[in-house]
Amino acid sequence: MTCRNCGLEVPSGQFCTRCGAHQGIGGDAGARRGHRFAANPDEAVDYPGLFSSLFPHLDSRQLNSYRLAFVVGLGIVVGLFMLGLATSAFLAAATVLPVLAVVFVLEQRPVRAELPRLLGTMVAAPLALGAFVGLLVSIVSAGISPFRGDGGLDPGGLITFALAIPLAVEAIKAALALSLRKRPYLGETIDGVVIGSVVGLFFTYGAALILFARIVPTVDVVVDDTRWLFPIISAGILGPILHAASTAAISASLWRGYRGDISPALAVVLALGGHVTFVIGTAVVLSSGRSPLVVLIWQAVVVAAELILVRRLVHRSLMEEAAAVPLAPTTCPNCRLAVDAASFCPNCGLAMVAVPDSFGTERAPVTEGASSG
Amino acid sequence: MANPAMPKAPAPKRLGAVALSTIVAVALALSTVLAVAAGSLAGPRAFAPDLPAELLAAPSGDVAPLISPGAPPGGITPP
Repeated sequence: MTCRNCGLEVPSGQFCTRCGAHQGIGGDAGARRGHRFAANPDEAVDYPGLFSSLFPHLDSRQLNSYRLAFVVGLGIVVGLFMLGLATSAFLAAATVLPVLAVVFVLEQRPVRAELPRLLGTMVAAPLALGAFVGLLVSIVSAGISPFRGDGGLDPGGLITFALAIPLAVEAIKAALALSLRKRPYLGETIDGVVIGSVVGLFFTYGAALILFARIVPTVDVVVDDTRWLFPIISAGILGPILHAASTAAISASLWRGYRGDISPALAVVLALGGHVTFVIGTAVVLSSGRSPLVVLIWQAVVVAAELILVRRLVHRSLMEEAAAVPLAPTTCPNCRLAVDAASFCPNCGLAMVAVPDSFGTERAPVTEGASSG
Repeated sequence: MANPAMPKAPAPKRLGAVALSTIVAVALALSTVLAVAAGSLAGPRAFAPDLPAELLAAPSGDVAPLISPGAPPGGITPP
């Protein structure tokens, strides 16, 4: 058949195997295919899926496994919380996502020679730097606060905590992630997304360990205060996801000089803006005396927006950077059908770059190829 | 195009949901042991700070200045 978007002769199917355009929908909508995320066609692009955004190499079966493991982890956290083990619940909440991130990286079976460098840059270095920054900020916070004595906002403190610190932290994380940009086997934008995600998670884990060390001497092992649930969710779950998503978005923007409909500069500004907004909104709500639940809702909204930003970058990069590979018989790892595919599965539309076991592994050199428009 | 004559291929061997959940459970069990041990070593507390609000105010949960509206800089203060 002739693709309605790129005009090339391709095997018949719902999707063009060269440019990924949806053949049932004409025009720009078919080329953009916002209802079918290129890394996981079972989901739409503007859907804040956690694992399919941060780890786009996971296929649908693996996604379900990771989701279930995450739910099990959250169940354990809730169980600890119900037992009154607040500090334990906090540490457990902060541990869930980093553990899954390490398992993901190891499961991808990256080239053995690169593994020490990968783990050092994605795990050890951000963990140490996160702890170091956590210590520094705890020292700063002894003299500066975003809140005045009467509970109102202090402009100087707010600028420090909501602008200066988030921007510095994002710069550190991005520098770490981008240091792997030129390494072999990491040429795709989605590789940058994974690296940014893992760096963000371990940076916050380092800071969380410092936080844990600070609160342990002041809080009994067993406490009877249900309000603990709010900080556990905020600092243990939402904060790490925010950091992973913001670093992933910045990394995706700069990895290959991505040239999609969101410019790299705009994507970086949006990612940084999300982090800053997250903190400012938290401070404003707290100073207004509203329920911590409002804070969590605000934080969840910002996190969802950051995840959607990552997905848009991933989706557009997969559509734009499709390599000009020859047609070959293969089995799609998503729909599991035997197909003749080049860059996209003609049946479900999965970008073949986003298949499992392709992070940090040897593969055909990337070439500028099919265009979506 | 999809070849209907060929059956769906079996999924490759990967960690399943049970194995992943077990890894997470073991990691959290270890973190719990660590947390309880650290808390026990610290001994009984002389005061109980209003920690939830302070923690929630920690900018993005990453750097943890234990601060809260109305509290002096530095955070934790005995009542």
